[in-house]
Amino acid sequence: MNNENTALYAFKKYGNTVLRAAFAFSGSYAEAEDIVQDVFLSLHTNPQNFNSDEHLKAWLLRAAINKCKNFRRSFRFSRTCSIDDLEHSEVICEMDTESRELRQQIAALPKKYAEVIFLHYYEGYSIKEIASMLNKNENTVGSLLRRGREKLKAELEEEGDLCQVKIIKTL
Amino acid sequence: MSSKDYKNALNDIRLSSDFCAKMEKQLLKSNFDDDGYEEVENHVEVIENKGFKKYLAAAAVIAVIGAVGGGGYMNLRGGLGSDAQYGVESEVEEVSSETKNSDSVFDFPFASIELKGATFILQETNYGSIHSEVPVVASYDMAAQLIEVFSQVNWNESKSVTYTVNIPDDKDDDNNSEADELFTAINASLNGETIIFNYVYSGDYYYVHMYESGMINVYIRSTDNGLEKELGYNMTSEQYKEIRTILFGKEENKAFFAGINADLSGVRYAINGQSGTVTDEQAKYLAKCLKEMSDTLLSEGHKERPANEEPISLFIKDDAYDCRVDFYSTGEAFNKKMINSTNEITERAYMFNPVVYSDIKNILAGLDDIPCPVDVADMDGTLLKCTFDNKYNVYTLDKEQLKQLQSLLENCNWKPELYTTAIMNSSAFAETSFYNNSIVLKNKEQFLFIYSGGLAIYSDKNGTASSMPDIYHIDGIDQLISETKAMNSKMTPLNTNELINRELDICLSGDIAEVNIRGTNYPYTESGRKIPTARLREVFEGLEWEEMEFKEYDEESDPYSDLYSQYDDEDGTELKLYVINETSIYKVFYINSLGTYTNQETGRGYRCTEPEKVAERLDKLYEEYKK
Repeated sequence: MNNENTALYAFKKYGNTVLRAAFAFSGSYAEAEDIVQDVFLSLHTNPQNFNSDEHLKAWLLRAAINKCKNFRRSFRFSRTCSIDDLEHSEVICEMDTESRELRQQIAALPKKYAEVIFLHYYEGYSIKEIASMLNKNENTVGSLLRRGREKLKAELEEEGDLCQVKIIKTL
Repeated sequence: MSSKDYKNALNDIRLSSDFCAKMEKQLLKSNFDDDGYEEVENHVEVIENKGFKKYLAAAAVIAVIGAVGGGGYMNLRGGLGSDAQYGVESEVEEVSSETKNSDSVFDFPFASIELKGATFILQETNYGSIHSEVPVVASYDMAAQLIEVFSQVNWNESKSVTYTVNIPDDKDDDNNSEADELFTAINASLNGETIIFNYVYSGDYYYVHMYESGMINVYIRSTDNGLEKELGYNMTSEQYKEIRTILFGKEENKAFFAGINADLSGVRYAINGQSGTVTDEQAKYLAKCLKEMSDTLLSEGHKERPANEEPISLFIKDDAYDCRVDFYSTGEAFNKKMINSTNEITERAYMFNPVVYSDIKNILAGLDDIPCPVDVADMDGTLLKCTFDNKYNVYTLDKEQLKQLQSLLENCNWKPELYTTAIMNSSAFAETSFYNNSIVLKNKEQFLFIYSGGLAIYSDKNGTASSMPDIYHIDGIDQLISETKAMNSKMTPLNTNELINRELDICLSGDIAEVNIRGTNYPYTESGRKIPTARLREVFEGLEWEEMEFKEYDEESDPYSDLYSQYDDEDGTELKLYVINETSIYKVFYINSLGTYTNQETGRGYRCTEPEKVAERLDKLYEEYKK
């Protein structure tokens, strides 16, 4: 890790990871971008010590989760995922239909499920690690993960779109 | 859903090059203007989100308490570690035959290995990916104890090897014991816990993996001729546990917090000028409490300790280092460590939620039964709110009734409760309906909340965030409920208007109250405005209130979700939430621009007449008292 400028190093290495996490947590492209900015600037303003890249990444994800909570409280929070939102953001998003629809469902997931689903499915953290990161007990994380999956599955099924069939089968 | 689909959907999102360029430019600025940015992470609460859910008042209390520490309690525990993190630079011990000490050498069937000084790594694996690694260098004593256990192991070779596993085609055959054995081996290598040690002797590399099930796999590679060999053995799972305890201590007693990574049983402590040794039971509680909570490593420059405070100190010693960890009630910990081999001394500071301090204090004090710690007999102007059999009533109590209630409370068994237990496990909330069978007493100076599972939260310190309330567990809650019910049957409940006015009396009891507005145009970061309570009183004068239909919140919803969801209205109406005394545990009063007041202790909602007038008056006051 480059100690000279941890924030820059972190941004180059994990900028997109934080963006995706922030999108999964907030459900909004524009807010995800704001969160990326806030997370890395706060690291720049208040440098931290990290033992490893993995530790750094965990810190960034934790910070993104906290930022999302603050957005929620600040009433800027809205779990929407509109094309307008995307157009006003600088985030690049490939418009593959299947991924896009799945992303809309991800965006619509309640925050409590979105966090555990992202940390488990995208980042591959174990239930124990997620419990540790989110300060929840393991049983809670396990049940949130289960319910989140069920909710996502139910919402995809409701869509009833043929292109979702493949995804539903994997749930 | 499959991890792949999920990943693919998100992987399509990325930052634009313009955004990256702008960010990189900003991050390159070395002389960063500190005033230009808010200290975000250090002011982010991690645990507060547990508050304001279905546990309402209790959780609200805890949430406010949680915010006192103001910490971004980043978890630095071993779960995300790497070898480098723990100072393990080499995976393989290399020991020459000359340095061997026969007392600490064990003759394994595959080699004689010096155990003293060998690095053992406790590795946790989840579906094939390594999630944590904790190394330890075996001391002479550990080596002697390990030899005792290894001597009991039956070293007959087994077929279970994990390095080159080929699942036979007839795996489905029920009688194929070899396939089953291999399948078990695969599972063991992919999931669960392993103790690993690697060793080089006479040019041969030995990789020894011991699994929770008792399976032992040894992989040997010769550097001379490149020959590879795999061996399998079995010990019992009890023998594995013994080895684990010798090397890594009892898991249930281990704490990972503020730089501590140790079994706390037998550790010396000092508190209030007295010292003692942590018992096995206390170690279990401490480990449980510390495991539940997170800490944040502060910068190396953080040296200043809280003035005029004797910390709670733990003195931890092992072969590698001596350390002293001081915990302060402010939520700061200082870990001063001396590495034995080099005499190098380091000190690092950590930040944590102050509730941990309170828990450590209570655990070291014993967590025994105590006399009733609350005194409500002289609570003037007390509101008693009871929700029994899902019926909710509020009363004011006279002197005699308060005495009677005090006597009922004294008949219960009281003991200190840990915040971490109350927050994390919610074991105190036994009932499915949170509000049912709850008793709340409050006046302008004191409050006592008792919840159905027996959790009691009490403060006679004005309920401000800076004075943490005490929390207890009550045994005998059923008796208390039935006797309070009997007492209530002889009392006359307040009507809705009286109730709200009493709540406002409590909320506006000081000279000044802090008011925040939450809404689209009001940034969350803005601190509250100080407004004289007399002026706020005028806002609510002459209003009539009616109770709204009660809604029990469940796992899927909470009062806050409702409040927030109102802002998603499609008609474009800008809704606002006025919060009076947000930082107070029980003087807080929420009313939105629709005139809806929600009582956090009972979950009941009330609507006032003339909401427009209330909103207009509050807006005007808020503007008038602009800083």
